[in-house]
Amino acid sequence: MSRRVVITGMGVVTGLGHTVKELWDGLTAGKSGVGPLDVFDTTEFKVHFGGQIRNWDPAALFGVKEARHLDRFAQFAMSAAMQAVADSGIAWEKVEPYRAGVYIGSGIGGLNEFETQHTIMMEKGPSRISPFTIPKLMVNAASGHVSIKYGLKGPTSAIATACASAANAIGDAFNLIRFNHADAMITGGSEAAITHMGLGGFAAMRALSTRNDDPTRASRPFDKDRDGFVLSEGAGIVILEEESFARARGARIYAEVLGYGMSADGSHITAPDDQGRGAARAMANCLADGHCAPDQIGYINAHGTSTGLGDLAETRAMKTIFGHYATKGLLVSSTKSELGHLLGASGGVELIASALAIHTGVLPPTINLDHPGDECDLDYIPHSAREVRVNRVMSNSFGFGGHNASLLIARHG
Amino acid sequence: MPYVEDRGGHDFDGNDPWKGYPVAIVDRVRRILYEQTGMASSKLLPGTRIIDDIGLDSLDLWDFECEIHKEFSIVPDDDAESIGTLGELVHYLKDRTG
Repeated sequence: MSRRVVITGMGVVTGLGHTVKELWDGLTAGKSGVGPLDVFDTTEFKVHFGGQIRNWDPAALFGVKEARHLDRFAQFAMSAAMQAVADSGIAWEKVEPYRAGVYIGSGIGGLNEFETQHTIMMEKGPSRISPFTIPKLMVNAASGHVSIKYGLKGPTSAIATACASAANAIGDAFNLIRFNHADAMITGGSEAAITHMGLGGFAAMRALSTRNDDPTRASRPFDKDRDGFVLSEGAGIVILEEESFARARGARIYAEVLGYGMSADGSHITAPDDQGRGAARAMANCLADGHCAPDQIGYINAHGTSTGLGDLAETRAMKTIFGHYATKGLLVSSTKSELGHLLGASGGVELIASALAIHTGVLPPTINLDHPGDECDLDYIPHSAREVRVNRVMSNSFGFGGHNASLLIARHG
Repeated sequence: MPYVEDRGGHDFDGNDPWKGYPVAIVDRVRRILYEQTGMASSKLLPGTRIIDDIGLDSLDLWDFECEIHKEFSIVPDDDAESIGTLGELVHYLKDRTG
């Protein structure tokens, strides 16, 4: 039997701030969270900017000992999870531990730890490798640590579908509750890939914007002068609960999760299908799953990474699925214009933005969209936020590997 | 939070519990443990048991051993197996670092 699932708590770590309020204030003000990188010396790199997390003090957040046990990506996940738990007001001691779990996605996992220990090994030999290397770098470290912190013993896993990781994690967690495998889940995504190899690797693919002289205007989804995505880091975590369970404890409900659709392009490891066929299928599956007609969707938080191919393919996919309505009523924006691309965390942060769009009646804008690119002729909410009451919102996430995931949420009532 | 050496931990009579131990080694060991666990150096005494009192699990213990190895440039030998307290560790390090 299918059960209803609601979002009751949210937490973030982003370039716009380390709280949901700071994130939302920044997004709706059209503020950029992108700036010069100083986490390491980028002189030799083609790109010198990104969405770096600043003023990060893990020892103050977790204590010296726990901070040392967590890679940066798991620290972001833990902080966002702690915020989400506090925001939801859930008391885990009142939840059957085998009915609550953690699904946190990450595209890459503990890249910082991997690089640090690899450098130590090359310089000083294998005997100097830290015993925490593997438990810190593994992609499931975030889920594992969060489950340990709250003593949750239900379904717990990690999803790695590149930039669709968080959306897939949330969709899978939604299904676990819906199909009665769990009553509450901590889920979302986390990423910390602004490292030598992360920055160098994405730059080598020519995937990143090189607008080094103007970082805050570099992420410009759907604009004709877009030249690649902006590498960012952070986390976005939500608490999902079975609806009657949440209502019984008087929880605040931000939105209801209605549907989840996914697909694979099955064509190229990095380039999207040029017609967006995979993306269209994920959106169609999501609508069908949520028993929702296309014109019931008020707003789409697009994947919109600011790459030439990706934004075009997604626009084509939206036109395929939404038809006439795509250009006559559908509202779309990409919050990557403000935040850059949080990779495996992006779907978590963007679902939170989507829930807040429903909850507050404000749609965040696509900033830097000065001159729409060829075929990019939807209403992308350029430059400024818009006050519109929407009842149903879709959030898209697509990842290298050809992974496509769409989530559908609705005003709860 | 940077490490601040705390020469506290004196007993009720004002005696320094580390009296007679080589101060330089004691300070370096306490700094490593502070950076690993956040424990104040005033709580790290000669009789402090490394596993039971500091609460290091097996991975933490290996981590601590790596840090000792790095700091003192020594490779632990069989005698290291019998070390239980910080005082014994400091004696062990003193014997091997001259």
